Amino acid sequence: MKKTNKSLLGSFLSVALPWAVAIFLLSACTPPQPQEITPENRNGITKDEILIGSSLALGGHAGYLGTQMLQGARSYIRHINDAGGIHNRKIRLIAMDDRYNPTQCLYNTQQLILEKKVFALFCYVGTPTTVRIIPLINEAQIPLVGMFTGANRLRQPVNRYLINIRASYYQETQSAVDFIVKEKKLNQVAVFYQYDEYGFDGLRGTEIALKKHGLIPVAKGSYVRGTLNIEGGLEKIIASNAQAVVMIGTYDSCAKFINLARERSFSPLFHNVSFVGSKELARRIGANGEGVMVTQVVPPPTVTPGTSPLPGVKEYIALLNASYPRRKPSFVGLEGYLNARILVEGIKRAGPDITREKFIKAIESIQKYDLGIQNPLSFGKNDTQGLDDVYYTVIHNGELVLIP
Amino acid sequence: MNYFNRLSLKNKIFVSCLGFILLVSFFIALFTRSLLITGLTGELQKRGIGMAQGIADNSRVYILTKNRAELTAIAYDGKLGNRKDIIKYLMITDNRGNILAHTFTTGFPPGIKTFVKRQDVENENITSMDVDNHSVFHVLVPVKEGIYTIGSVQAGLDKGHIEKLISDLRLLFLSFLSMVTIIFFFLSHRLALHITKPISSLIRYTDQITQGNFNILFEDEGDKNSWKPGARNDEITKLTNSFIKMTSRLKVSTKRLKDSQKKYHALFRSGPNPIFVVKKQTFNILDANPNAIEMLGYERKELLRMSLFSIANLNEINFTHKYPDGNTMVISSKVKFFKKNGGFLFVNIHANPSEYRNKDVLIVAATDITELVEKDSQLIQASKMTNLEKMSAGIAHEINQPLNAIKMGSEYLCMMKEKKQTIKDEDLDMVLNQISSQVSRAAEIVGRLKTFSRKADFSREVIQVNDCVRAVNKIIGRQITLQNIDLILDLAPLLPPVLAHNNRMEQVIFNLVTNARDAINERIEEKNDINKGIITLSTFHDADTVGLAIADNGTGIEPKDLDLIFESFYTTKEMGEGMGLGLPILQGIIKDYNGTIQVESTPGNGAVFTITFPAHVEKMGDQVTKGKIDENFNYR
Repeated sequence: MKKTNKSLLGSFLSVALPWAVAIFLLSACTPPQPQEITPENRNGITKDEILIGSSLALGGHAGYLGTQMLQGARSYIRHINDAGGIHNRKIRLIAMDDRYNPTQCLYNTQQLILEKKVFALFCYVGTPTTVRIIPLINEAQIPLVGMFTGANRLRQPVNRYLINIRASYYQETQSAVDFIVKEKKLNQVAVFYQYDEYGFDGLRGTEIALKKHGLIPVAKGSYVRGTLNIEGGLEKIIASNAQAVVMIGTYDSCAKFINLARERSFSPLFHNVSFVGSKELARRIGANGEGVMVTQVVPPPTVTPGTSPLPGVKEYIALLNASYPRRKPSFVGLEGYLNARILVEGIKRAGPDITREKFIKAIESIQKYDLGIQNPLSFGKNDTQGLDDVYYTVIHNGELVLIP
Repeated sequence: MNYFNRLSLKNKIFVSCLGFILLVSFFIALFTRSLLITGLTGELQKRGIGMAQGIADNSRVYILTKNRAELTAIAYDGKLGNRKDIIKYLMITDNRGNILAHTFTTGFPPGIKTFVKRQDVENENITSMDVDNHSVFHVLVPVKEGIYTIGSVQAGLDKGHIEKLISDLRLLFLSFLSMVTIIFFFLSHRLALHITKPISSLIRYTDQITQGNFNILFEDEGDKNSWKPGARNDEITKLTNSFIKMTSRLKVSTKRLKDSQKKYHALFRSGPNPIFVVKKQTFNILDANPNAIEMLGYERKELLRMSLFSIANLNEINFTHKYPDGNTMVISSKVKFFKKNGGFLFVNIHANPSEYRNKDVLIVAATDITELVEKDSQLIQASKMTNLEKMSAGIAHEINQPLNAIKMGSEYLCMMKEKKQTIKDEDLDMVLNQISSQVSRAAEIVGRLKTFSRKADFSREVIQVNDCVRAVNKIIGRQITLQNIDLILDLAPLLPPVLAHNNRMEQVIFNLVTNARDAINERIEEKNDINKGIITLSTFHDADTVGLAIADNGTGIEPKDLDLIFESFYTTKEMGEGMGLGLPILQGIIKDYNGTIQVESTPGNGAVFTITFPAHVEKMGDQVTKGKIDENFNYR
């Protein structure tokens, strides 16, 4: 029997081996899916110009945000262009208004990429709008520098085309909750949020932060984006006797909320995130704004007399004054300026033979870059967010005052 | 095919099973693949159309309001999720083919705009085409507001999606097939073994039986598939059981055969008679029993190299006549067997055709009759002596005549000499010639006597019967004539010769003639019949016989005596006259020469004795030769 087994094995191998090889070859025969190899894209680069595109809210419920941002950015860009540009190329920025409308943003972005053939995208405003164009960005492999949103989806999973500058909502809400719970020792925290991804993101961030302190929101009130129907949410929150309200909304709805709350003698600690547009908020709530807190992701754009100004802020104010003399500096504008600073730095570092790839790599190489705001900026292969600091400001006398 | 035939049964089963499975698997794979391809393609198209229809429904309102931003959003949404795999691109057009929204983020593929413009937006259709080096199904679904077409949704379905699926499936299939093949490899091997192991055992046992070993044990193999006779109820078991029965039957038959063999061997060995086994046509000796060996004085191995022809005197033609197919044949002619030392003996031969070791043979048994023959010839000699007595008176008388004539002549010469007379020449010649011829005559008579009395040689010669008749006539003719009996010779010319001995033939004729004379004398004496006695000697022949007839008009023979006259010691003569051995002896002599003798007679009217002999065909002389009897029983 042993003998037959051996010969059996032998004959088996002599048959099976070529068979296995055949299968291997056959399976290898199916041609693998060809890799999508796109040649290095040189869209938007000409001998003397780099074309940059932006779709942002220049009108509508969030028009302030886009306008301010654009002014800040354009001030710096004009400054650079006046100095001869970068590697003899001037930056031309095409801005399209999407009115904080995601579909419009999508359409605009398609135009920018396909027809205008811009080199990079820049200064987008809002979470629903920006996340809408992520598929386009990935398909076109075009970088987006500077978004006025702290949405988590732009940061996780890491996407090298999405170059965030500002700190995230999670970070902002974390700071807010820390302040509320630790500093103010309040634990009845409610959340008022816009009923969209921006609001959900902020809500989530707040919940995560509260959980760290072993708390949960006592009430959650929301409103539909683009509307001012905040009453329902307000009722809920008033009914919960919240001591503090973390608000993730835009300036108009939040202003209405605070005004109405004050009318109803409901005065918890109001805490907004930076997206709210603090200046506009402050303007709209007037006296009701006393004590309202806003977390910021950039330092205040003011030069406080008696203190040495931050060099970045100083430059921003100066350049803004040069390009838009009648405009006042704002947090949003400062952000736009900072976004432009990064864009220019990236283009500079990419060299004269610039491509999108080189640009992105250049951005990734920015380490501990001093923007002059005492907040060194760092990017990396897995870090697509430049700044991490969150600032506390409070409205005092209609002005936003930094809490050190 | 040759290779296949040379495989063992086990491997044949194994290879066939495997080959069959592989073939079947191959065809199943082919079939399934084509089935799958058509199925999947159809499914892809259906799904694509479904998606396009969904998008069409969503975009209706925006086509009406010309909201390109919303349409673009819808188009891009159409590529979200798992639709991304299928939808390569999406376009929404108005009813004139202008693209309102699309998902070509990085640019339009060449020719797509013109293609879209040319499409008939009214009807759903699918086109297979290449866009941007991707193979797609271009699907068109009209967007209808009521019965009016306001635009279309056109999507490119990625064929690569299916191809990937198919190649995955193919790999899976192949792996599955390989597994099946491997499993079946072992299974069919086991199956083949299962079938052929009992057969191999049976082959072994059969071989053992062939070698004569009947004491085979059906061993228990000891493993799981232990095969006991009758363990399974299938054809193999039945075969085994039949085999066992056959083996025991075979055992019994073989034993019987062995016993029978022993018996006949004993018979052969110790048979009192010599027995030869000779090959049918060549008469080569295949075997001889001890008695035969002893009889001839050769050694066995010497005999086996010889043919029967070199031992026996077998070259007569009559050997062929007495040889019908198949039956026992007695060949009782006195056959001469030659011993090694040159001596010889006479035997009677019995031959029987048989089969011996796959050859056609004759079993030849011989009975020693040498003594008989000697006695026989002694008898013949004795009878000759008796005849001689009868002859001597005649001879004396015969010789007296020439002697008288010589005396007369010589006395005449003496007388003439005494008278001192001259003899005339012619008288002298006549007397001398007379004396000479009478001396010759006397010498002849004496000579005939000599030859007659001589014992015959055993070997036959070619003789002419006519000559014998004439010789006898010379001896006794005158005597008979003197007794007033006419002796008529009627001899056929061109008579074929026969194989015999001259003096014996003469003896026969002489005897019959004297018998005829005696019969005539008897008639004359007893019946007082004065009719002249006539003895007629006639010879005749046809194609292959020679005949001699002796007719007389003597007393004849009573019918009751006709059969008895050839019996030994039967005589009608007085005591002392004759012994009654004449006719039997004559018959013996005639039989020796393969002849026949017949008698016809009516009492009072004489008798006719007719003798026939086979005519001798011209061939080699009376030598001992090595020859063959061919298929027509002709001696060569």
